[in-house]
Amino acid sequence: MRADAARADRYKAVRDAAHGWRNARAIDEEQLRSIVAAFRDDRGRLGLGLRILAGLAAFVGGGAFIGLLGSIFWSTGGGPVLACVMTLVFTAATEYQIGPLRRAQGGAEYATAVLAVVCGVWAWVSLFKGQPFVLMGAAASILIALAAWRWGYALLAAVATICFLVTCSQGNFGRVAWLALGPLAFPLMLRSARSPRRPPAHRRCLAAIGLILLTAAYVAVNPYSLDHRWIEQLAEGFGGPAPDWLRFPAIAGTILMPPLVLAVAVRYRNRLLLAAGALFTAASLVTLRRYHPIGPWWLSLTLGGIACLALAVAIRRWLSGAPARERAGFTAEPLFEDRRALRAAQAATTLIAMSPAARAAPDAHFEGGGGRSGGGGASGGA
Amino acid sequence: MNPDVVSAIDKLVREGVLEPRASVPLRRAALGSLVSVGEELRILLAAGVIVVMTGVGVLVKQNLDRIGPVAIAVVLGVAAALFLGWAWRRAPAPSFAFDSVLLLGALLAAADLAFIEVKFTPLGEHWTWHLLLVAVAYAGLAFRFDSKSLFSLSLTSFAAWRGVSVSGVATPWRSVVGEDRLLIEALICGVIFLALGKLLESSRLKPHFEPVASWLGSLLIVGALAFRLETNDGRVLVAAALAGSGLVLAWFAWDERSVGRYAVGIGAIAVGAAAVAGEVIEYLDLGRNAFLIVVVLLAAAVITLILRAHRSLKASA
Repeated sequence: MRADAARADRYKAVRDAAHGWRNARAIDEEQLRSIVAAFRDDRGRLGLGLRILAGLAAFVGGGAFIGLLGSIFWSTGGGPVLACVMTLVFTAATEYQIGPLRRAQGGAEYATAVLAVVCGVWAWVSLFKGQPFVLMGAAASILIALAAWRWGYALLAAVATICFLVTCSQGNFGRVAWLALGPLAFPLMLRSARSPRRPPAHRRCLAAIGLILLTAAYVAVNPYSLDHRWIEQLAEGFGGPAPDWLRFPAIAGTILMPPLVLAVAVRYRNRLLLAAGALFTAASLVTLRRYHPIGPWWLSLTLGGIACLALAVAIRRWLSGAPARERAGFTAEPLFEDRRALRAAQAATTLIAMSPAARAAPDAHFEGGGGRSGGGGASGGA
Repeated sequence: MNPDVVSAIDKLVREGVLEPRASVPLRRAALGSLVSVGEELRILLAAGVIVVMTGVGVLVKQNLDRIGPVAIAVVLGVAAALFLGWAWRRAPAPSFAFDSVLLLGALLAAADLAFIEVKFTPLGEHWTWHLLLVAVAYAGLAFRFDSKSLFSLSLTSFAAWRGVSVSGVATPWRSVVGEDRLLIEALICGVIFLALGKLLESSRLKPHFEPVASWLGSLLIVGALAFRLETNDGRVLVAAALAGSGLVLAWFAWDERSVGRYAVGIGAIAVGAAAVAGEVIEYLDLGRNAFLIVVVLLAAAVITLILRAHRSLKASA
C-alpha cells in the first residue's frame, strides 16, 4: 500500500472517531475542528450514494470497454494478450486514481481494482490453459491477495482466501486443510488485525481473512456439510460417502466450536468474533434440530425467537445493573461510534423480511368488469 | 481496538486539545478495553422478532386443520393485544426493547387480520382491502409511537394493496395488460409517497418521516420502470419515461442536497438512455459494438457528473 494512502487511511480513522466523540458530546465543536485540522483529509472521497453509482458506472463502463476490444481481438486469437493489456490498463488506472489523483472511497478506483483482478485471473487462465486446477487456483489466490495488499480492499482479501480454500479442497485432505487453517483465524483477528504497524485497511483485510478461515473451519466440522460432502464436491472427481469414524469428531466440533469462539470473543472483547460465535451457535442449533427433531418447526422457531428476545433483554439488564454500567469491559450503553449505517441496514432487513409482497392477483380468481359490484367492479372471491 | 486512534489521543492530550481526564473513556474505547454491545443486542432483538413471526407463519400454515381457525385467530389476537398493550403503557418513554415489542405486536395483529380474512372472508370479494386496513393501522401506530419502521411497513402494505388490487378493483386502466397495470399502480404509489413525504415535511407533522416516504417513492418509480424494460412492447417509451423521471428525481434531490436520491436519479437517466440507445441501434442495425461504445460513453458521462456534483457540494460546504 502506498505510504500516502496508508497515512490518509490512519487519519480518516482518527477523524471518524472524533466525529463519534462529538456525537456523544464528549468533545465540543472547537475541539472537533482542531482534530480535523490536525488530521487533515487530503483525499477525494464521495458519499455512499455517489460512491456506489461511480463504482457501478466504472465497472459497467470498464466491462463494456473490455467487451468492445474483445470483439475486435478475440477472433484474431489475441485473447490472452488482450487480457494482459487490460490487466495493465486497469492496474495503471487504479494506481493513478489512488496516487496522483488522491482518491479514496471514490467508487471508481474500487471498480478498476476489481476489473484489474478479473482481467489478471483471466490472463493467467488463458496463458496457462490445461494446467492443473491447483496451480491455477493457487496463482489466482496469490494474484488477488497481492491486489488486496497493494490497495487495501477487504473484499479482495476475502475473495483471495475463498479462492485459496477452494484450491485446498482439491485432493483427499480438503476438509482436513480447512479445519487446520481455522486456528490461524485467532492470531490473525486478535493480534495482526490490531497491530499499530499496519494501516486500518490492512487490518480490515486481516480481519476478513480470519473470519473466512474461521467460518471454513466451522463448515468443515459441521455434520450436515460432512454428510452432503460440501467440501469434497468442490474437488474434481470427489469420492463416495463420508467415513463413519468422522461423525463423532464432527458432532463434538459442532457442539464445542460456538462456545469456544464466544469465550475467546468475550475474553478479548472482539465484536467480530462475538458475531461469528452467535452465528455458529444458531447454525449448530439448526443442525441439531435437523438430526434430532425436537417438536414441530413452528415451535422451534417461536421458542428460538423468544429466546433471542429474552437473551437480549437479560444481557442488557445484566450489563446495565453493574456499578458503572459495565461488566468485564462490556457495556450496553452507546459509546463513541457512529452506527447509523448499521441501524439503517437493520431497518432495511426488517422492512424486506416483513413487507407483504406487491403482486398482481391471478385473473382467474376474479370475474372481470360487469360483476356483481356493478359495471366497474370485480366479484371474484379470494 | 484502533491503535491509530489510541496514539492520536495521546498526541492530542500532549498538545492540549483533549483534557487528560476527559480522554480516559475515549482511550478505553479506542483500546478496546471498553466495548459497547448495544447495537448487537438490538440486532438480536430484531432477529428474535423475525424468527417468532416466521414460526407463527409456519404454525398457521401447518396446523390450521388440527387447531382450528378460531383458536388460531384468538391466540394471534391475544398475543398481538398483549404486545401492543405493553407498548401503549410504556409510551411515550420508549425503553430498550420498545421498538421490537411494538413491531412484533403490529406484525402479529396484521397476521391475525390476514388469517381471519382468508378463513372467514368477512370482506368477501373485497378481500384485498384488508391490506389497506393493515396499512392504515400501521400508519396510526407509526404516528402514535413515532416509529419509522412501522411507517415504512405502512407504505409497503399500501403498495402491496395496490399491487394485489390491479386485477380485482375497477380502475380506468383495467383494459391495459397485466404488467402495465402493475406499472401504473407502482408509479401512482411512488408519486403519492413522494407527495406524502413533502406534506409531512412542509406541515412539520413528522418531518423525520420524509426521507422514508421519499426514498420508497423514488425507488418504486425507478424500480417499476426499470423492471418494465424487460418487456419488448413499448420499450422506447418506458426507457424515455425512466430517463425523464430520473431527471426529475435528480433535479429535486439536488435542490434538497439529498446525495443518495440524486445518485438514484442519475443512475435512472443512464439506464433509460442506454435502453433508448439500444433500441435505436437495433432499429438501425448498427451492431453490438455500437451499443458497447454508447455504454462506455454513458459511464464516462455519469462519472463526470458525479465528480462535478462532488466538487459543487464541497464548494458549497
